[in-house]
Amino acid sequence: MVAAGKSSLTKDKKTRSLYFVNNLTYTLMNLPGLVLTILFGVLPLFGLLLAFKNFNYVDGIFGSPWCGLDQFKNLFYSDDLWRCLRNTVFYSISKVITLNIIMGVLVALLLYEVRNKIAFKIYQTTMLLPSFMSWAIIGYIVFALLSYDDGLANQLLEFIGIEPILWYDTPIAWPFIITISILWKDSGMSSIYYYSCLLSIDPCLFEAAAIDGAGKLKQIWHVSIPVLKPMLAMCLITQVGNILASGYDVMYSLTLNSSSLRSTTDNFGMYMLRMLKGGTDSFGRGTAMNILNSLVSMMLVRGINQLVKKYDSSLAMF
Amino acid sequence: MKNSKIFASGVHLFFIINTLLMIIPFLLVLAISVSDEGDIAQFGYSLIPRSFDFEAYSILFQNVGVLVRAVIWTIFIALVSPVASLVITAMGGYTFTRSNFKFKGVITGFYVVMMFLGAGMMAGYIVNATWFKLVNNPLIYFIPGFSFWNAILFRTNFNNVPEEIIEAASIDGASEMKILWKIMLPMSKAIFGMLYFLAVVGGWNDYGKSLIYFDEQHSQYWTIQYILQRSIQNAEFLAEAYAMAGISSDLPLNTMKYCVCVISMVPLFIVFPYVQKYFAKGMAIGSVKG
Repeated sequence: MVAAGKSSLTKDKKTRSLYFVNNLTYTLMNLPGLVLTILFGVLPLFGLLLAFKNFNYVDGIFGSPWCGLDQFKNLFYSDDLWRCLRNTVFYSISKVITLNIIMGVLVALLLYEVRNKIAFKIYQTTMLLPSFMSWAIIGYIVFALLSYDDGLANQLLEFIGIEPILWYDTPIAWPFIITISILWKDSGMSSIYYYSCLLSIDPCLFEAAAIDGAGKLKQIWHVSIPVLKPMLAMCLITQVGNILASGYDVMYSLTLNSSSLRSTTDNFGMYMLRMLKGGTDSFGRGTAMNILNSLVSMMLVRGINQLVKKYDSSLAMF
Repeated sequence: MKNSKIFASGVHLFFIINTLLMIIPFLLVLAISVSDEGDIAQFGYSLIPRSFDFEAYSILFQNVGVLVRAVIWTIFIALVSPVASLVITAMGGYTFTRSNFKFKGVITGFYVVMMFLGAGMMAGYIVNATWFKLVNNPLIYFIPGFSFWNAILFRTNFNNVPEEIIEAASIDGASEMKILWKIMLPMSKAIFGMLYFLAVVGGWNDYGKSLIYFDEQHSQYWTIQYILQRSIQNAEFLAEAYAMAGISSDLPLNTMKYCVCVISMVPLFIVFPYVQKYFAKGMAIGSVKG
């Protein structure tokens, strides 16, 4: 009796010390990630203070004198904010609709119908190729098409007898050019996610639908689309936030940083890049834009999430 | 029956057009790079070169300094910098699978909050510049980061490893690190490979860090993609770079630009089959379930 009690006591001690050692190891394993996230994720939040300060390197972030809400006032009275806001919202929504909803789903649904193994491999490989290229390379391709002197587009215009167009000086054309470039680059990648969802469908469902007299379109509508819905909702919500968070590289590469195209291609990212390159005087304005960018992006994510929730509450992310 | 045949050929037609659309632009770039500079000045770019001329390539490789150094530097960055990030992320992802880890909730909560609280580009730059002194400092390319999304991918994948194997290993006296290295990672090679190759491609394609953190006096740290970007924005950039190296006679700048573009695509075409292989595998096991 006594011996048994003793052994269970030591066992208890042993498991408790094992529990402690394990937890210590787990914490240590998390340490590098936590330290890095604090250094390069939490500390940069202090940089946001600059929106309320007149920054100079000598006094640093904390020492620079305060200037109140001047930067925000200037931004609200200038065209910059509204132009950036308009373009950013336009491009993010147009990307989500054309790329993630229309092209992604369409290509995935059609790819699912390809039965020939070799053809499938060729189609999929070529489709993914552009999405692994950098935007700088895409910029070269667009330049080869649209350059005033040498571009293929102007050669074609000349051939059919129309005056060549200075594409890099024609802001109105760029919403289309940019949307098409994004579609060309990323439609393969965006279809992959939907395609892997489609693979989880039991083929019997299609057979059953066919026996019940459903045509191809009806099968897609009643069997495939419902499977894709959660993926669609997730893409909608995460993509909108993503585009707003980054997004100078597309504009910078495609427009070659051309200032005459700003009215339709300037966005938050491009504006911040200019402020960042413009020296310490413009840091305050850039940081104020940074804060506004984050606010707009949070609002858009929340708005889209709310929309999804209204449609089907089980699909919303939060 | 007839209908379904029409549908099937329609699908093939769609994808054949799609395939051509995906490939022709790359052929165009290649064609321009081997065209004759005089032809371009006279007729403009064309998909089928009127006469072949490899002068631009020979000039680019005559002077090994500028371009080849940038290519080697970028390959080095792309291959080396993702390793630490992935190891750190895998360690975190592993602890999220352990049921007896007490701080799991707190730590994941912290990462979720951080996901929504990104400081943004401007604030990040200012802190990196003033506190960490990372402007014009090549260390900026190698700072690892913890990615919560990838940690979740790892966790989903580690959860598929049978618990019995882990118990058996720990009874045999394997430490937690050893379990991660010897059991977990070998059993999730596909996801590790996918994330690694994606990061390598991302590293090769990135020009933002060179653009933001390095000035003209530190052009030796520019990555190839940024040199590419500079060459097209500033027609004189390549001429200046080669003038400094002593080559200045009448350069075929138009074709040279496109040669740089082709050179920057070649490594991608080489790793692409591997990327695609791991990508297909990784997609099948990791993200779909998560």
